[in-house]
Amino acid sequence: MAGDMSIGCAALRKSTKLKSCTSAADTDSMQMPNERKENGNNTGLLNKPPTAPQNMRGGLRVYKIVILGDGGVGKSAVTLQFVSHSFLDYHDPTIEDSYQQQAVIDNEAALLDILDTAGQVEFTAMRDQYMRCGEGFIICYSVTDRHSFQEASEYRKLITRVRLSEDIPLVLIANKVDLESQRRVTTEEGKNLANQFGCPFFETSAALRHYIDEAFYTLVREIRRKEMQKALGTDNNSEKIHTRHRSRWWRIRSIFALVFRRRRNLN
Amino acid sequence: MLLKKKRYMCEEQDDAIDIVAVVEAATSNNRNTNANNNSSSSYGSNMAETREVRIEEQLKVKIGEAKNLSSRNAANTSCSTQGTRDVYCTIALDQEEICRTPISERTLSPFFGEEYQFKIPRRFRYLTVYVWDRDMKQDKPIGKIAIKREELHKYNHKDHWFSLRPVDSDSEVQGMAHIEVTFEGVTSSQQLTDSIELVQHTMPHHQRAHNNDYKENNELSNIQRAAAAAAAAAAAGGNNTTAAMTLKTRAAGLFGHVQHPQHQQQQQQQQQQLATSSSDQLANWKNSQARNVRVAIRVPACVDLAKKQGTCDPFVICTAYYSNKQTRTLRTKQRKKTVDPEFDEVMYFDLSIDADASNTGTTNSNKSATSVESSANKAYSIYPLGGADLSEIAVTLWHDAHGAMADKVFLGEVRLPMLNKQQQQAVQPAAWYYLQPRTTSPSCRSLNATPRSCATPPGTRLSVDSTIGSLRLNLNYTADHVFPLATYDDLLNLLLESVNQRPITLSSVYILGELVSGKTEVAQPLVRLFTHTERIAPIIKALADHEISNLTDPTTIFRGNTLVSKMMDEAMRLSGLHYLHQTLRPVLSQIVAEKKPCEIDPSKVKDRSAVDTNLHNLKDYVERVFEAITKSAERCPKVLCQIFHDLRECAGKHFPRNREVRYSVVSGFIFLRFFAPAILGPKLFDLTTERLDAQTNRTLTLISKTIQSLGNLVSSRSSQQPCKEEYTGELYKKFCTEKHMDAVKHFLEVISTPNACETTTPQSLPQLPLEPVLLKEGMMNKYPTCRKRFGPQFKHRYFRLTTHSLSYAKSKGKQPICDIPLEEIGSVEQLKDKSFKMQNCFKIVYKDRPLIVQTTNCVEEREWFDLLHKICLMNSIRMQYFHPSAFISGYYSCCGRSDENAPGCKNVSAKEMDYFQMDLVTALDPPLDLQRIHTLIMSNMNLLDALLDPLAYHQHLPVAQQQQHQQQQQHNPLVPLASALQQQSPQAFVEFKKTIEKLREKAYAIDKDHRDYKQGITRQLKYGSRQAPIGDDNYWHMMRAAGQLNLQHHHQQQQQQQQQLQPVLPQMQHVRALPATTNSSNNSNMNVNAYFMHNLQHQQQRLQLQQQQHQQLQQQQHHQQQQQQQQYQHQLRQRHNNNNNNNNNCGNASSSSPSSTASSVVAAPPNVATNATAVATAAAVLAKPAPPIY
Repeated sequence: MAGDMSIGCAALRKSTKLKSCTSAADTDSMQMPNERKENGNNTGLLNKPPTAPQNMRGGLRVYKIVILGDGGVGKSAVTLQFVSHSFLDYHDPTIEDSYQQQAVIDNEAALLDILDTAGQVEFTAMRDQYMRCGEGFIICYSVTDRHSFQEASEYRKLITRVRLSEDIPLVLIANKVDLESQRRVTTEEGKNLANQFGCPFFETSAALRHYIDEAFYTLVREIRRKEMQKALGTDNNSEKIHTRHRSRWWRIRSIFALVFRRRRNLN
Repeated sequence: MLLKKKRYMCEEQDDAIDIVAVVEAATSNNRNTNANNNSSSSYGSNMAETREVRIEEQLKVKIGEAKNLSSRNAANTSCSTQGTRDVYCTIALDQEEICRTPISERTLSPFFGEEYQFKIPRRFRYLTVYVWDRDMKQDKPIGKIAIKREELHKYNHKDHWFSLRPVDSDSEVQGMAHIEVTFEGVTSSQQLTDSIELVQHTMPHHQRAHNNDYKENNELSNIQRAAAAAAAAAAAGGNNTTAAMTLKTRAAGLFGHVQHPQHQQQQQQQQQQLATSSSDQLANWKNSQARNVRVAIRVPACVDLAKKQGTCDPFVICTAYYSNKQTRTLRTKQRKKTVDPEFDEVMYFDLSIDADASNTGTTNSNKSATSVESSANKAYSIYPLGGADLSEIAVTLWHDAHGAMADKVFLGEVRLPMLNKQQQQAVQPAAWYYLQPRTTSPSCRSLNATPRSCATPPGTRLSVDSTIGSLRLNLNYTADHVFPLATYDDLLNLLLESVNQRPITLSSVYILGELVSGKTEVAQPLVRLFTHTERIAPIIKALADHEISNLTDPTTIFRGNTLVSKMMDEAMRLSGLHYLHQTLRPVLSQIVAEKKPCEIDPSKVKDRSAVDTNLHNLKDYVERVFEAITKSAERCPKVLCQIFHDLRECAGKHFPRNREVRYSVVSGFIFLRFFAPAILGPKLFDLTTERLDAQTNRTLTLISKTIQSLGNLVSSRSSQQPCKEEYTGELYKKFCTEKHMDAVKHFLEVISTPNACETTTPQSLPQLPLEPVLLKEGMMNKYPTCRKRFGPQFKHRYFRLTTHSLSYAKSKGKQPICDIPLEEIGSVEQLKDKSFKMQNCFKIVYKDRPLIVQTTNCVEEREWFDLLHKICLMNSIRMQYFHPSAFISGYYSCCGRSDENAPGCKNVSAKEMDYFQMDLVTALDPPLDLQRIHTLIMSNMNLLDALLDPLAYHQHLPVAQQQQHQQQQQHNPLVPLASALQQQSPQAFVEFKKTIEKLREKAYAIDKDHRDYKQGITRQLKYGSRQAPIGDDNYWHMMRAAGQLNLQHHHQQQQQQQQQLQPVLPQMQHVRALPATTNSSNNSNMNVNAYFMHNLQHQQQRLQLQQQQHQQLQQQQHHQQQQQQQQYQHQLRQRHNNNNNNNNNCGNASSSSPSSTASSVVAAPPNVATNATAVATAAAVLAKPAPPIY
């Protein structure tokens, strides 16, 4: 897991115009041996100008998504509903699970690498690692648990502290809206908090699969939007690259890649 | 007439000088002794009373990651490592390294994620984190972060990015120096109205005369010139250790010679012939000049100097800077291998030198003593208008590095400005100074402003755009003044009452949990306290009962982060740590050592065929861990068994139909919150000290996940659930068997049955000796007790301390050379004596044979010593006496006994604990925990106040503030609780209020002790004493706090006079203005409870606001007084600022005289105008505490 995450990190750095070789080496230290080879290929490619961004896998753009929230708010339920369209009514506390899900969002294929985390504070030791590498975050609270709502802003603070930026793609979701009778947090409060964060807000129900996909798709859109902004903000050169990524051929290619990838998986 | 008078005076002068000289010598001696006495006696007396107040400082540092590190030169490195670095960090207290992280290789944005926690055993000024680049020859520092101790608490609990600062050898300083400054010459000016110039030269018997105009200036009856040969020698070589006393008498003798009238007349004639340029101006200039002629500098002691490359051979260089940019330099001999050197050399400097000297010199800069010699050949010279005065003296400490190419290494400097009389007076005759970073070369310095360019300004702030990079740290620093346990009796009782209070929401413990935002912060001391009083099980039961009763869905029982779950977590960590070590250490160390790949996620494995073998490995590991855990049930500590039992009962009571909850409530703690985190992060539980690579981490994650799921196996439903991650299906299939389920159930049954444990304890007891629990291990130096003639003095040994014995081996994993059963250890004592010439040593006496052990740093020493000392405290053969110093060349330097085995001469340190429990040998410290709780209450006092009397609270505040507080009220965590109670039953609400009131009352009562204590200290502390060295603003922090305390009191007096009905803090009325009787303890009193002060500020802000309002009324009354005070302050501030360049932010004002002014020292942040007036009044109170001003 750690090794995998570090590729993402390197990728992030790379897109911010760090010297390519250095960050490739960066990943090396954290890498598992069986991934070394792939990494070597990367360094070979990197002598050219960075045409292909590093957060690609099999021609698909990978989005690293981390789900945060207090224990027992339904992080795993939301994730599993999104990934496998099933609802877990038994609660088995998560320590750290990762899932991959392909999706075509706005006519562009994406590979979502979702990290489901532990809500218990006992596992905060791992937090550092994923806070550092996630591209987008979903902060989750339960409408039936007032305390988890208060914790939400703590998580947000944590992200901004670790990343030293207010501008991290983020989605706030209020889970368990199906349990209307036990509601402790109103929709308005949630909306206000989302406004405060400056992020989209969804009231979801993992049991009924309400607004699950929307939450994830919106986060991917957020990531894309922020990336675009950054590209526009920096300079023309990267903009050129970016427009090419958005070109029709690129979209077709990505969808082809998706198809072939599926087939490969089947084999 | 005139002449007669003159003669008369001359005659008298002869004696007078002699007397003066003697008197002066005596006074200077007195001063020295006084200073010494001050530092020892004032802190020595009343020791018994104040020794009980100790200061506990704890620091937790998490080094997160670094980024944007500057890349290495890409020129000479290979392609793969181009420009990158191998980075590691070290944490240091001042200059002493405490711990270092593993190396993160080939990266410019390394991730560490390392956490360190330790008690701080000594005073320090800066916490420094260095970032290093490993290199072939020598590791190079990339940058550093230095945070002042006083500012550490600002960063508590939160991640911060700190920008790295360059490491500059000029700023790597530590320690302090005692400097004596004596001005010599004519001091009493009533009889001798003239000024005497005593000029020292390297040439003996070189007399210089000075022209003098009698007619113009009658006041000047004489001007004498003399040269002291002995002084010259001292000045030139610096090797001369002649005491100041003899010099003075000789000088006095010379005066007598010169004073002879005839001789004088001759001189006058000569002078008139030779020096024709005398004028009025000259005389006036001379007259205005200092009456002192030279200054003697002595550095009798330094403390705690920095070690450079493991050694320290310090010496002092004194440099005098003159106004014409000329310098004179003297140095002492070096002292060998010590960080606490004593220099007895006296260095003399002229207060003025002739300008000619500088003209003859090649340039104006850096004149050494040799150039002074050359200029001294002149017979006499004239003082022109622009004569050179002494402007500053720099006392610099150097380490004399050995080796051919080695240069001296800078250790720190102290600058004493001495430009004019005012500055000279401000210099204390004998004071301790903190060593400061080196300033730029004196040529760049202007005389009044001294910018420090290259020295690293400590205390770095959050900033992104740094060139060297930045580092993310999570700091947590607490400093507590811990009073004797009796002080906290009331608070303790109040807390203990909570056990029986129903509903639990009315109890103080529950309120505390709601009040404090950081649950860990409050849970930790609470759990320790209740464990100590053996009421941990009832309190957790009560809290858990309340939580379960509010729960609707049994599946998410105790999943959130609440007070009870946090307390459970802490209780398991506290009582179950040894149990955990016994259970998991063997299997985990095997896993870490074997490093078998266990990745079973196909998307993360390159080679699909490897998955099967990996799965096999993983299964094997999980099986082993599982077995270790399930078989350990009988060893589970009794306390935990009791708690689990209670929890199960609670769950059964509330969910009688759901049988699984009874298991899941226990497994939710023991597996989810204890074993799983321990397997995941063994470092945090001291299960391993090795660095874990990514693969091992992944293995541990997978094991932890599986074990957690297995622990959750108890419900029949869970095994039918689909696996969350597909690839784990195969793995779980293997473990979802009846056998495993039964094992888990049995395990949970046993650990939640207190009786079962009791019956099995006799059986498990005999097993215990077979499995000693490791307490601590690490490399240390072992010294022989007496020095051998040949060979190295010490040996590196790997020490292991278990609950049964202390052993050491040549290296880790080797067969121990020596194994000492703990019962045979007679005593363990720290060695602070100078005769050892080494730091961080302690002595273990076993079978009458001593073993001296040296640790790498002070923190290690403290940890080892604490463990050993407490373990061996109850030994039957504990010795009564020991030798505090070394056995050198045939006898003990402490008592002089020549027999090495002679019984000791000093009492061993007293027994501190009557309570003893092997498991919790070091963890429990009730006074400290109570103090922590007190601090927490005080820091949240505003919330309590706001809740209790919202009316009184808002009355005094302006409208804007009121609104703010209304907002605050919304965020007050107690408000929902209060309103809920109010709705439920008014009676409960009254109870609730009563508890809060009690809590507040007790907290204020303890707070009063703190204030008294602090005032006592501040009163006694003299700026410049060893406890409050010059050059740091610690002292000003304390003074400010004291000032504010008085301010509070003062304010209350005002309130009383104005007959206000609603005082804000009713308890505060009892504050005494009189100095407290408490005295300060020997070395710890300097430490300010920074945390506490921070808390105080909340109150202060409020009070100051009110103060402002009242001041408008009061101003006329004491307008005059204020003015005086301000003037005085201003004066002092100037003086102080000159004195002390580094002390930039808040300080001012000290007076060297021991008279009444000494106590009226005031500190004020210069930028806060309103504060200045407030402080002025505080100063008035300080000066005369007894009568109220109004």
